[in-house]
Amino acid sequence: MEKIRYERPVIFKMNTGLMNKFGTKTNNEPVTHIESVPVKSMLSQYGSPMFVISEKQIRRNYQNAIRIFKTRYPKVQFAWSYKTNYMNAVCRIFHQEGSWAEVVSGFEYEKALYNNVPGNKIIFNGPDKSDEDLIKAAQNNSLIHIDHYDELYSLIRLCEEHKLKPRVAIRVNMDTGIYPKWDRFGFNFENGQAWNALTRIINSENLQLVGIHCHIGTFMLSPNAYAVAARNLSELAWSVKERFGIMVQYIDLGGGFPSTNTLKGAYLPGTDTVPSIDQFADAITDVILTYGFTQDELPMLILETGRALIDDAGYLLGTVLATKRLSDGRRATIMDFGLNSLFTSLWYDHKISPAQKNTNQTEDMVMFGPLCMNIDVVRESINMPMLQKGDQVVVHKVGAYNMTQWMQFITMRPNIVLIDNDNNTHIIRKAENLEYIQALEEIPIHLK
Amino acid sequence: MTDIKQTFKAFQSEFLPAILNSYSIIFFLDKKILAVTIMLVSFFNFWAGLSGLVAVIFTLAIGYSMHLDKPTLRSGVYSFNALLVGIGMGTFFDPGVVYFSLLALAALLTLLLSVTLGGQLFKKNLPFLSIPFVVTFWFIVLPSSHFENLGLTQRSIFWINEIYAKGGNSLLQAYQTIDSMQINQMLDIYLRSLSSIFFQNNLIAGALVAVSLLFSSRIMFSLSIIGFLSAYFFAQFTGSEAASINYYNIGANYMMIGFALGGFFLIPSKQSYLWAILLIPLTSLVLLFFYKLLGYIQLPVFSLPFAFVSITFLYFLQLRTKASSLIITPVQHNSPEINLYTYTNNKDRLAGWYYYPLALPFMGEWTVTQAHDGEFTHKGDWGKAFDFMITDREGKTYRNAGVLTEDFYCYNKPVFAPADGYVETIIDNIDDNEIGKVNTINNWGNSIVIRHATGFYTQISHLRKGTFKVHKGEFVKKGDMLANCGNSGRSPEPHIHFQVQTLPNVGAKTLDYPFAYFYKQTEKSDLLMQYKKPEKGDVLSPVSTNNFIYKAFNIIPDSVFKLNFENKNGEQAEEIWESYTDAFNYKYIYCAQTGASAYYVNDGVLFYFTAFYGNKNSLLYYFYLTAYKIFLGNNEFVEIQDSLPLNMIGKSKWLAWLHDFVAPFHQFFKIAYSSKIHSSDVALGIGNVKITSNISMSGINIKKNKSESIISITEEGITGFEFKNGKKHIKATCVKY
Repeated sequence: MEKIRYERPVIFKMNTGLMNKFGTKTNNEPVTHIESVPVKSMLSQYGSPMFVISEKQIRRNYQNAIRIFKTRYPKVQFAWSYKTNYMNAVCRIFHQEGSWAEVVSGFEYEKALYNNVPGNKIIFNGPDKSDEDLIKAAQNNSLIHIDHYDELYSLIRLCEEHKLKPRVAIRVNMDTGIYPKWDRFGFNFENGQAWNALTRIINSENLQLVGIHCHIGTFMLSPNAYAVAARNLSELAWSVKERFGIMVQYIDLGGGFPSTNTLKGAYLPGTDTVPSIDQFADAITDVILTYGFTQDELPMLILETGRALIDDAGYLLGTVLATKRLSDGRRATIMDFGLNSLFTSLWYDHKISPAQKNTNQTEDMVMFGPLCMNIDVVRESINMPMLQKGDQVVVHKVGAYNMTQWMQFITMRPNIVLIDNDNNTHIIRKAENLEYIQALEEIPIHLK
Repeated sequence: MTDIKQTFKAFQSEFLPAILNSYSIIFFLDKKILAVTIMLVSFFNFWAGLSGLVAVIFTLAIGYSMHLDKPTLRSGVYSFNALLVGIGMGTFFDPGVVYFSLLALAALLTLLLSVTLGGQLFKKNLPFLSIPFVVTFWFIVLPSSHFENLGLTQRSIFWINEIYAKGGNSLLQAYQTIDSMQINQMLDIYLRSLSSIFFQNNLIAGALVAVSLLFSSRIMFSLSIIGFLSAYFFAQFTGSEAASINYYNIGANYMMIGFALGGFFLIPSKQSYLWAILLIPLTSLVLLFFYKLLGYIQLPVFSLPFAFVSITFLYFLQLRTKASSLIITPVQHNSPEINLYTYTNNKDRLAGWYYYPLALPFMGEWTVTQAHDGEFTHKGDWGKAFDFMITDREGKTYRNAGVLTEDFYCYNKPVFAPADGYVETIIDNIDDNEIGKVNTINNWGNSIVIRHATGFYTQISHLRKGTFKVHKGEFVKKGDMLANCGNSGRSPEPHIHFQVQTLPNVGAKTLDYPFAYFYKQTEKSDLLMQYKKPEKGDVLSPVSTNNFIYKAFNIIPDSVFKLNFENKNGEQAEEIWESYTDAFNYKYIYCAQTGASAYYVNDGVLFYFTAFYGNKNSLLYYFYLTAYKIFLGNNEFVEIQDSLPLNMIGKSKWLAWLHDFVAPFHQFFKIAYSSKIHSSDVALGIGNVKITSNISMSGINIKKNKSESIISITEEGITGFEFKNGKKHIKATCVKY
């Protein structure tokens, strides 16, 4: 028989609330398996901490989103937002499912090509596109979303110099009634800048206007904002049609659908407050379908949804390094992962589950990362069982932005493992080592 | 000089085939070998043969100079009766000046009768068969005694004398040796019967006709035997007197019944064979009657009974309300084999032609929760309806607890017009039920009825109040948004009800009707369903057009294609195709160089060829095989399966012949065609698509890949195709489009 673990007794403050004979239930069900692969065995095989991505969940999310939109609108296309997670394996799952690629830099553009995305299925967004990037994108027939006048003029000049006929769209920003207003990207709708840019493109000799794009914000909690955006873009498309007789081929509403993570400072958990994709889809398609376009004219609807499709497919597994009492009496648990690998802990109160069965005793505690930096806090206050050194935890919904925004700071970045459809595990990015980190460093001779 | 050339050309392309067809059409075929054999056989009796040929040429000359319908003249339909009259007269009368003038008059009369009868009967899709010949002969025979004064003499049929006169003793001996050969009695009767169709009684003639009949059509050959045998056994049974069995009647009446009804006017099948046998006793009865009746006025019966029975039976068949067997040949190819293979092939693949195309009234994937004659409400007169809901991967129709209408996936989803039409009725005043409750007073709930044609309506019910986007009387196009799914009427959970009906009122009696095209979800990939009725539990989604591929196959009438390819000698060759639309609005591609033409259909979902005529060495033939059926829809994983008519692909001759014999009963071979998108990187109308297709033949223990092809498509259209089989590798590029 296994030796029963000792747990130090604690004194609880009585919570007010409705009494019942079961007491209050803690939300600390242990998560011992991910897609039926044991957490323990993964950690012993791949080391702690580690990221885990579930292929099944990615495909489920994608197919669900497609179903939601396709039951409402005839022409829907998703484009995988590379910056959300550009692990090649992840991108390729999305491309296999039918996603195009949405990239925001020359680096991401190259990655998309490497992932066998045909040039004409790459959407090139963002304010930072070099001349070389633009030429390459134009030659590959990619969809260039122009962000500002300087880019527009560069492109016009490059077209003449290199005999290009690129397919372009403009990014539009607007007031959709949300705060903060995103107006730093693209051309403004209300002050007529967007219309000017469109006119400039249509009157240019070489640019082919194929679409209109906007991205109204991130982690959007209001479907109505999308209805406003869809209406404004439809209005632009309609005006272009009326004035110039050109029907744009697509309307790209960007990304921004939230995942069910809980934002810092939110009163209720994200699972209860975040609108479903259905609600966003209703808001968007209702507007475009009834705007007045004939069936043949209906533009393709492109969505660059990232976070909502990947967040809950990613997990971070970690181990307790130590526990201690802070001076004010609070319990502190120090994990082997922190801000360096879990960048999104700056935005979310991540749900963290123990990976093994503990007693029902819980306590509010601070969860720190391993960095020797004061800011390295994973959760400021979390109710967890009495974790001890060596205990393992599972952090949920970490698929978006972590594997792209993580830092190599103080420690090195860990393994990323993919659980495939048949529950086999594959490393899709190896843990970094010293050699890798130092490979690009050079030491001047006088210091050798 | 050019005049002579042109005349010669016209003779070669029009007049000569018309003469030949006049001979072969007697056996309902258009085979040259048969025509030449019959012509040869007819000259066994020199004057008869000559009279026949003269009568045909004379009739055709009049026909062409009087501008009768050219294709009909060319087919020999107007002139074969003159041939029979010519041969007949040549057999029964001695030649002379009076004789030939009379022959000319008789030929003219058959032409007049043919055109007159044709004018009346063709409208009803009936043939006149040999009636003009019989009637003309009456006109000659009855007053023939009067012509005697003018020098016309009945000829005694002792033409062996003539052989002696012409060929001397050796020819006569050769003839007699063969003719008196001890052969099986039945074979003897069979061959003599065949020859008697041309008023001969001669084993050599019979054997020649039999062999060339076998070469021309296995089905006709077997029918000649079946017709003969059944007449023979019927005679054994009743006594040949009663069955009025003689060589002529076996040949020109009983066998002819077999040819006409067993294999030509009907698609050859067991039933048509059986009826050919059964109608022989009936023909015998008719024959006896005419024999007695016409005997009083001393007129010959000839093949009148055959014509009488065939025409009556065909008319009888036409007036059936439903024809599941004994199919009247829809398109006559003058070959029972081609008729049979084309028909069996078209029966399934062109089934949709008879339906008005209806699309699913929604977008995305929906599940059939109640199909035709379902267990809940689709009963009795209202049985042929569908209920649709949206389900998730677990098969649930709702999220959360499913206690609110909003929890249901299908609730408030848009509903679209299944086809073009006028909005006949709208009900839009009934509130949604709570989940689990039903409204049996206004049981259809908010509904819309669309009139697609007079007597053809669709109804969609249980919509949400206040969501209608169309008005009564408005014209809607297929795919226009009508309203949103709701939970009104007899609907405990949100769903849409769809039915087809013949009356405009809401809740009229339903009509059993399929949807034109839709995808059915399977574990692997979606299946394309064509004119099928979905079943309960099927997950369906509508098909929309992939504009990129559609554009490539949307061949605009009067456009010209120029293709370069390497011919079999390894030289660069060029073929030019033009596209036309015929009088019946059928579209076809025609190649003037080779004379080949291929009929096609493009309905926005499929491009397919319906027929190919002409030169099988032409590039167009290979394109026909390559692009036999191409999917134009928006799902890149759909594989199209089809089958080609058996006569379209070369098989080993002996095997093909054997197969022809049994084909009316069972077809052992199948030529399967499949096509799918091999690769596509199209986005927003730019990119490349490669479509691969494959033809394989399967039969008893054989499965053989016959050919593989690739078609390349860019935004410019079809850029080329490649066809590869064991022997050939053809690479064609489209240089002008």
